[in-house]
Parts: sequence; C-alpha cells; structure tokens
Amino acid sequence: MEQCKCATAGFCEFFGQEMTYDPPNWQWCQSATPDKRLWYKEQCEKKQIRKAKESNTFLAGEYITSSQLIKDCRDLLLPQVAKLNLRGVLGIPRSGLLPASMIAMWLNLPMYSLDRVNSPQLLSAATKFGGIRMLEHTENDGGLLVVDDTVYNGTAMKNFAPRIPEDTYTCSVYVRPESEFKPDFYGRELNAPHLLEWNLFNCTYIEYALLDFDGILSPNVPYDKCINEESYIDYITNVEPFYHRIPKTKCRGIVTARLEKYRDITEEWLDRHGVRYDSLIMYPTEKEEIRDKNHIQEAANFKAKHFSASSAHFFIESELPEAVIIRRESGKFVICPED
Amino acid sequence: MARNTVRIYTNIAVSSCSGSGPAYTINYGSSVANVQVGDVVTVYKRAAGAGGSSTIVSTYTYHVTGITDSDTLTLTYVSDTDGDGDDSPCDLPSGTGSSGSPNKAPHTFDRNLGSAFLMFVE
Repeated sequence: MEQCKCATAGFCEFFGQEMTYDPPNWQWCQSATPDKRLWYKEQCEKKQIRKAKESNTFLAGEYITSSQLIKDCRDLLLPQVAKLNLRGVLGIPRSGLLPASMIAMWLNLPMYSLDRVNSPQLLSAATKFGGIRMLEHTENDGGLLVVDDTVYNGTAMKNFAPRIPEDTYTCSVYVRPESEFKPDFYGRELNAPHLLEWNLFNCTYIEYALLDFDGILSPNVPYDKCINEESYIDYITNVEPFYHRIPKTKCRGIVTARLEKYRDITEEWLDRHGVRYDSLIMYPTEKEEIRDKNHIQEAANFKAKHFSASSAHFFIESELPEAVIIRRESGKFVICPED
Repeated sequence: MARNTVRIYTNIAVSSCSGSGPAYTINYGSSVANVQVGDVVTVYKRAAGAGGSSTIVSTYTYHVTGITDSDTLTLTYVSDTDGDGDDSPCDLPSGTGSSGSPNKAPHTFDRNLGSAFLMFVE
C-alpha cells in the first residue's frame, strides 16, 4: 500500500476495480494518505458486495424475446379476452401496440391508440375501421380492450385512466406480482428484473451490459471475407449495423474477439453509427494463432475474463456456444438474443 | 439567524457519467455554472421503479472536486447513509421510471459557509 503508484490506468489489485484514466482515478491514490486509501478500499469492497448482489438478482431474472411475447399473448392472454363483447382494441404507446395489434388482428377488431392528450383514437386507414379486411365491419356497443405488454407498477395505465371511457377492460401480457395496479386480465406474472428483447437496447439496463460486437452490433463476418485480409477490412469498415441494436444510452463496454490491430477501424465504425460505450476491449493481436486454433473456447474465455472483472450485470453474446461458456466461467447473466 | 449552508441548486438532472470512482465526471442536463469546487452534492437513492416518493434507500454525498464547463463537473464520493460504499451517481435511481428504464436521481448542491460567529461591539 505504501508503494501504491500505478504506472498507468487499468485494473487495480488493491482496490479490486478498474481505475480510470479520465477522471484520473489511477493517480488518486498517489496523493491520498494511507488511511484514506484504506478507507476507499473498504468502500470498494462494500461496492463489490453490493454489485455482486445486484448482479445475482439478474440471474433470477428473465429475458423475454419478441416471439415469446407474441406466443404468450396468443396462448395465455387471448383466451381470456376473446369472448368479451369488444368494439376495439387500444394499445398503449409504444410497446403496448405490439400485443394490441396482434389481438386486434386475431379477433378481427378495430384498433385504437391514444392521441397527445391520451384520448382514444380509432386508427382508420383504407376503411373507417382499418384496412380493407375491415370493410364489412359494423360498429358495436362493446367495451374497449386496453392492452400493454407489461405492467410494472401500472403507471402507464393509471396515467391516462381518466381519459378512457368507463366501458373498458385493461389487460397486459405480463404483470409484476408486486404491482399496485392489477389489470382486469393478464397472461402471466413476470418478476423483476426482466429484460425485454423489443426494448433491451432502448432501456437504461444497457448501461449495465457488456456487448459482443460481431453478431450483435452488426452481422457476423461471412467466412469468405475472413480468409482474405483486404476483403475482411473492407467488410468491417462498411458493414451496416443492426439498426435495432444501437444502444440508446452508453453501454458499459464492448468485448470482442476481433483483433486489437483493427481498433481504429472499429472505433471509427462505432462513432459513425452512434454507439456509445465506456470501454472497447479487443483480442490481443499477438495471440491470433491461439485464438484461431480453438476460436469458440478462446473467444469465450477472453470475454468471460473481462466480464468477471467488470461491474457489468449481464453480457449480450451472439453465439450460443460462447454464451454457454461465458455464463459458466463468469457465473453471471448472459443473453443470447437469437436463442 | 446565521446560516451555515446555502442551497445552490435543487434537483438538477444528470445526463451522463464516466469514471471508476472515487472521482466521476458528470454531465448535467442544465447549467450548473454557479457551483464551486468544495460544494456538497446530495443524491437520494431509491429502489428502481418503486416511485419517486418511495423510501430512500441511501443518501449519497459527493464533493465537487473539479469544474470542466458550465454543465460538466467532477464529483468525488464522500459517504452514503446506508453504508453501501462508493457508487457512480449514474447508478443511483430516483425511483421514477421503471425497473427497466430507471431514471437517475437528481442532484442537489449546497455550499458550506463555515461556522457562524457572533461579534460583540461595545
């Protein structure tokens, strides 16, 4: 501790965490007294215990894919609402429109949404009640089915409840068991924390995530591009991103088995596509041969090592075999969006 | 009545943070140009998604240790009432929002004026 003088920013064994370059936390201890260093070490230990607990809660959490949402909506919610006398289905913007539009189509009912003052508006298109499939539809005096994807506390539904006519039924595909508000119908209970594919990159949970690069932010590099360096560089320079996975906020970091020698191209690509991140960790170029002898195991070990050392709560990995290894090695929550 | 502290700003929204701790660089959603180095920042941490008037889990205190520009400061962790240890101001939820998209707890700035004193004049 007396010789607490790191030569550079990076992981500090004494504090058990990364000490950043900016602000210059790696230099903080050089001017701190021994008592102050011990005090901060205690704070770091408390932080690490708390973060481990928070991270463990994710292990008890659930990841819901978009296809699972539609399936649960069809199998669990639809049977409960199908026999109601309904004049239409209203989706709560935005994600409530997903199950609402499915229910409206399955039951062949008009679709409603909310205007800027939260008043229900019939969505007309080719015909008064929607598309040409609604040409023969006649209005009835039934109730309005108000649909959301999830109810956490019921805030969204309660916010516009005064604007909704009395003859309404509320429903959601998922509801948190502790929610103060319970809709009239729901598919099933869903504990927190839960991660939802349709807004995963659009919610602040992403600030606690480490992301794989190829296969998550952009399509995997095709094999025929990998065997020629010129075409590989051309591909990773110009590949289009997965636009549905551009994080809304800054993610904790990107950990990739892409080689360090492609850092400039990679950073330029991330900047060009508006991807914000705390750190970009790339595979050491000098170990390329080792990586390529056993790519899945080596890439996964590399990612697991950095995931374990980080305060990130979960890792988003594109390849299932790697995801399994990262989960096993890190003991932390790993999401494989396609599986 | 003498006063030992003055309130500089109340409930200033946080845009982004960086840094590992104990120091963090914080970018605010509005100007904090009246802040000085040494001012005290108080942040009320609540459970994510539990509501803005839910129980305070811990009250975090930071010191302003650097000023970059009118909306960017360096804060250094001082203490928290629950003994949870150092944490980034961006990881402290306000209780509003949802568990999936918790809002960051806003910051309140105070300045310690030092001990008050009395002057006796004959």
